[in-house]
Amino acid sequence: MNIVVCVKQVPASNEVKLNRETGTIIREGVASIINPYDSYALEEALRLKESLGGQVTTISMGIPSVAGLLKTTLALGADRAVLLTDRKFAGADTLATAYALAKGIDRLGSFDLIICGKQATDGDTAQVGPSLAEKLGIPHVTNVQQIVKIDRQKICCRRLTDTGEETVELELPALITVVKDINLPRLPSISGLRKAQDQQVALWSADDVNADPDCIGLHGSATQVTKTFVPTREKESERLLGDARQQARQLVDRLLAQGLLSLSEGKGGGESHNG
Amino acid sequence: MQTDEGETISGELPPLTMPEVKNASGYYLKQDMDLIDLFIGSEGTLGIIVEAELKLLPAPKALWGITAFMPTEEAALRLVRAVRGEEVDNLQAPRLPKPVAIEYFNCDALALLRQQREHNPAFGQLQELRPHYHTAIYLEWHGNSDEELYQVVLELGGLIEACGGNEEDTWVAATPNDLEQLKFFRHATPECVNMLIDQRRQIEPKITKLGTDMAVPDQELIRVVDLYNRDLAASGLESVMFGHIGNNHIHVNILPRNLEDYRKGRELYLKWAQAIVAMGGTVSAEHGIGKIKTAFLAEMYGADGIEKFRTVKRIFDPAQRLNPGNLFENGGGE
Repeated sequence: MNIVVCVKQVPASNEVKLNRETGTIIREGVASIINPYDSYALEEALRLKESLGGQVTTISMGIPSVAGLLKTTLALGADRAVLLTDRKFAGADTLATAYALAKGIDRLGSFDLIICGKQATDGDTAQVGPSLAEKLGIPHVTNVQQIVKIDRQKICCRRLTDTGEETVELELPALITVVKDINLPRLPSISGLRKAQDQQVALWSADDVNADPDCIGLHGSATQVTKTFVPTREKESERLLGDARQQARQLVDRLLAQGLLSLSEGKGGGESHNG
Repeated sequence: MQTDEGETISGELPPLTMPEVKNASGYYLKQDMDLIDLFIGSEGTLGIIVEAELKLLPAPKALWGITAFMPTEEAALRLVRAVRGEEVDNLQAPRLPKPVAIEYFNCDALALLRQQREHNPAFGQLQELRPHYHTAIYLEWHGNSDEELYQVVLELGGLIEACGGNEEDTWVAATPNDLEQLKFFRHATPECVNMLIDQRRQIEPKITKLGTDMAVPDQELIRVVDLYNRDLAASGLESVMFGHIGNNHIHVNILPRNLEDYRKGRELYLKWAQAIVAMGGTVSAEHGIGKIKTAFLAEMYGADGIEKFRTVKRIFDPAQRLNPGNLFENGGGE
């Protein structure tokens, strides 16, 4: 089973700071990590490889230093790593990113499964995975929390939905995006680091993957970020005073007034409002 | 010494021979010492700090943590000594830079963690502890770059293998998120112990955890671990051992199941205190003496040493107002 895992470099999630004047992310002095959701994607791919055999390839688009991060994926057990790096890719939105990744995956050759994290912790759009599947013309399923069954032809996944769970079966090749419930990502070992030391991360330019200049980077982006800001959080709170009974009464009155609660006679529970 | 109010505190600090180990027992007394060293660790018996100016160390540019799982305790102890640069069994070992931390988790600690990981969802995020992992050693290095520490860790791998381990049985953390996982692992042992004791106290409220805090000089490490293992095995007590093995400062946590265990555990504790003093160690390397270990302090310094501490106490607190009962069983003045 040949599996491709898409990874993105993001600032360590608990350290994101914005420059209040320019609205941009302050990256100096902030550690970069693999997008945490992508770590779950890589772990799932490694487990599938361990049980079914095959190869795991990691791919990313980014600045040259992202190669260091891809080395970590090799240390964890990936067999091959590719970095799409070119000034022409700069400023890409999710559409242009998905296009570039699709071109990179085209060059990789045949694959059975692509696994992505459900979203990146810096952009939080959750768009690249599904867009990539569309670009490649393969089926996809998002928010997968368990791979129930997989063979050469099909994959059966359980996914999280807003209201619960559902089980979906897809023909391979396919793309899935995964949530953090799916596994516990491993940590690299020293032997993994030693193995990765001798492996190279392939650096591919826009030309290397035959990317159409009109579809990549800022030029190929359908959206543009004009301003980034920290949303002001406005919290309104009100204290209900009095003893417990009075507070409960006031709370019920407010809920009734807003139509969030209705008192129906004879259906039980009415007494409790007085108790 | 002149106070801000112009009052003069004067006296002569008596000379004292202190153990050459990490130590938090009694007052720090040395010739030509800085007085701040007397106040730090004096357990509130000499004064009250109302203002402190702190000088911060720069944060390291790179920080890597490695947990190595060794197949036996013997191999783990070899690794600790080799990393410290000691001669170990004719081992041709590379000399590594000094780590900032060397921590230890014995087989009972790992067994407790395995059990909690399986049954308690709060520990579900612990990495899997494979059955052949016997003893864990956590090492931490700070450096100027990741590249520098990468090389250190590769050399460590060779050392682990030379000591009888396998560099595959390691967790390496170089990012904040991965380091957080190793920190979670490090703190999980004492948390599991506290939870277990809380459960047992519901049945027998008089028992408490019996946690030792003693340290010995480097050359006594093997002997002290051997002492703990032998006595614990003979007593039939349940226990875990973990802690700061880089300073030969292992916390033995005895986990009494009943009052009889508790009594036996206290006896062992006193026995170990005597043995550790004889090895040139300290009865408390970190947590201090407080009110419940005053007998151990006397064991360590003898009547003469305690009298010297009382002399110091009288200089700074002649009316004996500060933290009565700490360090000295009957107050500091007698």
